[in-house]
This record gives sequence, C-alpha cells and structure tokens, in this order.
Amino acid sequence: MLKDISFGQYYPTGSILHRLDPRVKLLIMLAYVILIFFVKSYIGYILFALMVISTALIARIPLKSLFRSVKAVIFLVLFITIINVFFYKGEGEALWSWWKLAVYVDGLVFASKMALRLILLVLGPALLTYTTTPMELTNAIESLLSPLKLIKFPVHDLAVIMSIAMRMIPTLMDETDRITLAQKARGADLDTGNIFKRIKAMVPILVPLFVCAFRRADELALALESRCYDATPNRTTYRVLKLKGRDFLFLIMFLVFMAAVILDVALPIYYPCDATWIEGFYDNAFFSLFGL
Amino acid sequence: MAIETKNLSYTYSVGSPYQKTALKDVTLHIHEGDFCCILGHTGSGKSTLLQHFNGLIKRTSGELRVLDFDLNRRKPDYKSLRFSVGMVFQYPEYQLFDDTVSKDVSFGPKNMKLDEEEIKKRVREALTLVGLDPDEIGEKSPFEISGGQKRRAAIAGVIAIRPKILVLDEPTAGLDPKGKKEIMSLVKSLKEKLSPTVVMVTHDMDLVAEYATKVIVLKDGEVAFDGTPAELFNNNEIVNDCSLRLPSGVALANELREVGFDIDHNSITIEQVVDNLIKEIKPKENDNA
Amino acid sequence: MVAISFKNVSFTYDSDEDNVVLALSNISFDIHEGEFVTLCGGNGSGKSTLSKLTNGLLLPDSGSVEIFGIKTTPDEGDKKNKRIYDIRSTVGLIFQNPDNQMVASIIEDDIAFGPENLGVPRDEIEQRVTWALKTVGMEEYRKHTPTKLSGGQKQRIAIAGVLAMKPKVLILDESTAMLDPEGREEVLETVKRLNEEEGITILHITHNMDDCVYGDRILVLKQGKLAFDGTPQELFLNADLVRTCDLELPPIQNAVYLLNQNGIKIDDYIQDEKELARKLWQLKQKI
Repeated sequence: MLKDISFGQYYPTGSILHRLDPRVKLLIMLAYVILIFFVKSYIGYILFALMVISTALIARIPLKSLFRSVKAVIFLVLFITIINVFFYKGEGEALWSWWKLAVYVDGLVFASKMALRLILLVLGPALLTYTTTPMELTNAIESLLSPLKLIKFPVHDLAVIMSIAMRMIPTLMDETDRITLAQKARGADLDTGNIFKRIKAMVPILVPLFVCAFRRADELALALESRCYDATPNRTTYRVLKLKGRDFLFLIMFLVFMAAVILDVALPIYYPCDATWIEGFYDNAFFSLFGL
Repeated sequence: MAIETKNLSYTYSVGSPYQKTALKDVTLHIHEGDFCCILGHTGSGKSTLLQHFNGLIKRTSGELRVLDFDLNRRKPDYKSLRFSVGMVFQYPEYQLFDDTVSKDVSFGPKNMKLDEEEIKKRVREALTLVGLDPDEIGEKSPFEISGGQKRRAAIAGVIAIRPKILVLDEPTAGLDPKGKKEIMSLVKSLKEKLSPTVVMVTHDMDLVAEYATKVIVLKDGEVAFDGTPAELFNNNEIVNDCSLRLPSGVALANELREVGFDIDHNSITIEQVVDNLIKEIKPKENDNA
Repeated sequence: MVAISFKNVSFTYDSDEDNVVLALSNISFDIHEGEFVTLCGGNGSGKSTLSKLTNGLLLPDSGSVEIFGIKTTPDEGDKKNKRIYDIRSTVGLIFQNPDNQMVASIIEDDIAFGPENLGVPRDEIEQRVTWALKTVGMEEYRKHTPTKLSGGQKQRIAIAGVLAMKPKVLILDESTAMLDPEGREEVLETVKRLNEEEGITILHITHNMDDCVYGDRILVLKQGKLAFDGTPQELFLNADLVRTCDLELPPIQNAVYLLNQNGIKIDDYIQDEKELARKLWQLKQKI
C-alpha cells in the first residue's frame, strides 16, 4: 500500500524538515557522510548521535521507525564488531587471549567506534529518505548538477530519465504484483525449493515484466515525441527550487555542528588513545577486506 | 454448491496507517452451473473477493467453501484449490512468457506434476477449445501472434488445468466489437464443455443482460444485491443506489413502458425487447390484413 | 480552414522483405477547423497508423499529409522537417494507455512537460498548467501523484498535458478503449466541451460506435481503405456496411435494424430510446 504514495520509505508528517529545500537536505547529507569518516573521538560520535536524534525529533519521525533502517545492516555491524574485538592487535597486555584470538582495550574501543560509525552512516541517509520524496531528490540532483550544463553535460536528459524512472517504478511494481498473481493462479510455486529452483521459478514473472516494460517504453517514446521533447535547446523549467528562511536557518545550524566536529577532529591532543588511529585503521587486515 | 461464503470479511494492512477493509460480511452462494456476474465500482472489493475463490488471498475471517474445499480448516489444500478454480485476469495476454504457445499453455499442467503424455493431451485440448490450431499456432512464439490470438492463448493456459470453476476479470477489456463477441462465445462454449460454473467481473451491462443467470453487486465491500439480472435491472432503488448503468435493452423497455407498451420485465436484451414488440405490434397488423 | 488534410496517402509497414503489410492505401479526406470527427474501424483497419501520420510520427510512403497547410514530410533536400515541432504542438495526440504517456510523478510537473520542451517562459507555463487542469476539471489534483487516479481521471490528465501546448487539434488514438463506461463518458464529455468552448478540432479514433454520437461526422476505415465518410445518421441507415467493417451498431440503432428486419418499418433516423418508443407507439395507434 505504501508504494501507492511513493515508493521508498518516505514518512509523511509535514514537519519543517519535510518542507525544507531538498538541495539543502542533500548537501547537508553529503557533508554529514564525509564528515563522519574524520571523526575519531567518542565526543565526536556523541555530537553526531545528538544531531541525528534531534533531527528525527524535529521531523516527528518515531525513533523506533528510524532505527528500523539499521536492521538491514545489523549483521554487517555485528560481524565487523566481533572481528575487531578479537583480532585487533593493541598495545599492552591482552585482557583475554586464546589461540590467535585476543581482546585488547584498544580493540574494544576501536570496535565500538566502528559500530557507531556504521550505524550513524545508515541513520543519516535514512533521515533524508524519510523526509524527502524521490521526486524531490530528483529535482535537487538536477538543480545541483545544472552548472555542468556549461561543459555540455546532458543534465536535462538525465533529469527526464530520472523523472520517468520515478514515475514508472510504482506502475511496474503493480504490474509485477498482477503477473505474480496470474502465474500463481496457474500453480506457479515461488516460495519453496532451493535457490536455483526459485530463480528458475521467477522466469514466468520476469519475462512478461520485461515484455511489458519494453512495450511501455515504446509507447512512452511516442508520447515524448508527440509532446515535443527535444524541440528546442532553450528548454525552460517549470519547477524552480527557491531557498527560504528556514533553509538558511538549517544550513547555519548545520555549519555550527560542523564547526564543533571539526574542532574535535583538529584537536586530537586531548585523546592520546586515538593518536595512532589512522595507522591502526590500515593495519587492520580484516578491515581492508571490506574496502573501508 | 460451487462457492459458498458466510460473513466473509477481509482487511488489508491491519494495524498500519494504510489499513483498509475490502470485504465486510459477504454472504453468498454460487451454484454449479451458474453464470454469475459480479458488478461493482473500482474499490468495491471485487478483486479481493475473486482472489479468495482460488486462495490467492487466504481467508482470515468468516467462512468460505469452494467446491469440496473447506477453507475454514486449519491447513486448506490451496494447491489443489488453484487447479480447480481457473482464474483469467484482466489483459491475460500480458502473462505469456514461454517461447512457444504450447509450452506456455503447458505451464499449468506441469505445475500439476502430470506426466508428459497427459500434459501434451491437455495442451492440445486447451488450444483446440479456444479455437487455436495446436500444430500451427502452438509452435509459434506467443509474441508473434495477433492480439486476439494472444488472449485466447492465455485463456488456454488457464483452462489447461481443467478447472471446474472459471473466474474471469473483464475478459473483453480493450477488445473491438468483433473480438468481444468472439471471446464471449468462447466463454459460453467453455462453460458448456469444460467448466460448468463461470464467475465474471464486467462493466458491460449488455453482457450481463445477455449472459448472466445470477448477479451479485458489491458496494463498499458489502453485498448490495444478489439475484437474477432481470430482478436487478427492474429494481430502480438498487440501480440508483449503486449507480449502475442499465443494459440498453432495459433502457429501451423502460421508455416503451412509459409510452404505454406492455413489455415483459424479463426482457432485458435488445433482442428480447424487439421480440416483445413484434408480438405487441404485429398480430394486429395481421388482423387488419 | 482545413485543419487536417490527407491526400492520396498510402503507408506500408515493412518489418522484413517478405512481410510487407499495407496499412493504409490511398486515403483522402479533409477535416475542417472546429469539426468533431469520429474515426471508426476494427482491429487492423489501419486507424492507429493514421493517427501517427497526423503529427509526423510516421511519414506517408506516397501522398501527403498537411496540418493547417504545413506538410509533415521534410522539404526536398532536408533530412528532418524543420517545422515538425510546429506540427506537433498544433496536433495533440492522446494515446490508449494513460500510464504510458505521463513522465512525472506529480501531476503539475507532467502537464508542464510539453510547454517546457517548447521553451515557454516559466510564468506562462504556470498559467497554462492552471488553465489546462481547470479545463479538464482536475484542479484539485494539481499536487497529487497520478498512480492513484481512476482510468478516466488519468486520461483527463493526459489531455491536460497536451492542452498545455495550446494545440488546435486533439487526436484521441483509442484513448477510451481501456476505460470503463464511466471513464469513457468522462473523457468524451471533456473532449466535447473542448470542441464547443475552445473551438479545438477533434479526431476521435475508436472501435466503439456508441462513441460517435459525440461527433458530427464519421469516417470508417476497412482494411486500410476509407469505407465511409458522412454523418452518423447516414451510416446507421447502412447497417450492412457497419457489419462488414467489424463494427457494431449502437444498441438503439441495432433495435431499429432488427425491427426493420421483422417488418416493422422505421425509415427515419432515431436518436434515442425516447424517440423510438414514441415512434413505435404512433405506429401501433395507426394500426
């Protein structure tokens, strides 16, 4: 049912955060994601956690719903945490050791920070998608990319492609439901058997779905041509995003937050435990496995 | 009894903000041999009801019995139920997927785990029943035959399981008059030869007048009417209440009565009304002569 | 003024060499500005091909198609018709499936798409969107998404999307075929109003003869040839022609036909049930 309103996880509450300019939200989110990789102290993580929680409160999104988005990565978080607890080679004496496994204080600190970072990394973008419709995000991307027009990058075509994709996803989802029901009515068994069997069972659904998508694409192409797509290089834009007072307010609030984080990152002197953080990070063989 | 429900109710997305009651205390009986039309506007619960009939939606509240299947039991045999109730969805041609028509038609029988011989037999039988040549059309790709043939092929894919009940959701949607006539005479012949009970959803009141022996009208998930087409279309209260259209025969009969003709209330198609008129006008013509 | 002019138009689809399908052969007709014309034909009669020829999506193999005097084919030596977008903004085409002609998830954005493509200034687009939505009676859905609308409403949005380009001609290419009777009525009433109030020329392509009561002229295609061009009244009196074109008389005309067959002669054109009832009663009194 949710997909009828908008697919994804948009959580409509009509808060000020929902009404914020999507470009502002997108930019803040990008800064947030980059920034979080520089944080190394618990204070920094607390700052981030406070920001996420206060933002969720402003957006009137129940924390329970917000934390649901962590579920998807919970196994990755646990896996990384456990590996770091047992394999991190710290200084000083091990708290516990057996065979090649050993638990150091440094390891516990490192693992907990890793877990926090991953969780915060998921929560931030989740907040963005909870408060912003895919359509708004598309508009934001188009608007932010528009300077690229100067170097002949087809920003506009890209925007139309994204817009059509957004438009078609709910329709194709309905289509998938319909085809699935029809094949189930003919006795298709989609829920039992091993993975290969299940993949094979998807053929009667995927083939009609593709055929349908292509037919739609054909008709859509005719409709685009009929509606003068590509008629003039001087195309105009109806939807113009305008920054409002509240957008500046949030930008300033975020800049203050950013300053606090940068201050924390730039003054590592108070946290001697983290001085070798960068080295420790790359020394950790298990970690490089994940390309992080 | 083919289908029997008692206080059947169904609610989508229970407990979420998108909760919606689709069926409310639906009690109905469809007998073997009925040609039952289900009417109702979009959102009246038609699809939800239909999907209960072959277990695509599992009964949650109220009683439901289809043929010999008692769906009130703890673990009903949904698989066998699906092979006893054939379901033709709207625009069924969009579900064709295999590289030949025959292979596509064999999908159902294969899922029934029948043996090779029997599958072949069923495919030939189904294609023949829908009027497609198994040797010629059967070997073609379902994507290179004409639109009308595609719809027939898709129907063959459903009847290859030899259902005892045939459920059709707007089988004539999008067809031209010729195609419409062909599909309806196909449904009629399938009812005679294969599936004695037919349940059909349609918006075309002329089809209801011509084919239905029983009509059920759904409104906001409840049964608003259950009876014969003649009873329905002569009941102005229900017709207005459910904002139904009248079949053209009934519309004409009403105007004729208005000016003074005595038209039988069982005449609901144009043909029947014209026959009535001929009787009304002609005998006197003969007397005069 | 002649809005659409077909002169000896023929068109063939040649998917491969052995499989040449003659879709239209030697079609000629003129549609004048302000007319409401219904084009009827069964499947494979070539009616969809005809609609695509009117705005240059397809070009005739021989003969010519002119829209307000502009040929859809490029001038000699040109690869592409320089005025093709003049034609396409003059002739608005509405297709069968409303879902496959919408490009945006918010209705106002979808309606703005055509004017945006034509480079219409933003303020004017705003006005056009408002006007188009009002004209099809869908103002309150401006900020909605089209997925939740009924078929008839979606098709009205598609019409609004085309109207925003300020076309002089509207072509409905089987745009009512997928709709239920309510949706069909909704769309046809809208189109009728556009014809009467805005003076927009309408060409409605359909296989449903019931629809032709909305128009004042009817063209019938039969296997790529023009089989009839006249008023609905004239056509209905020629029931045999209707049958051979894979079409079906509207029910009331069918009743007249059946009565005539059974010796109850009704020679005049009958418009509706009321008229038929009155006529029959008079006939009965006479006897």
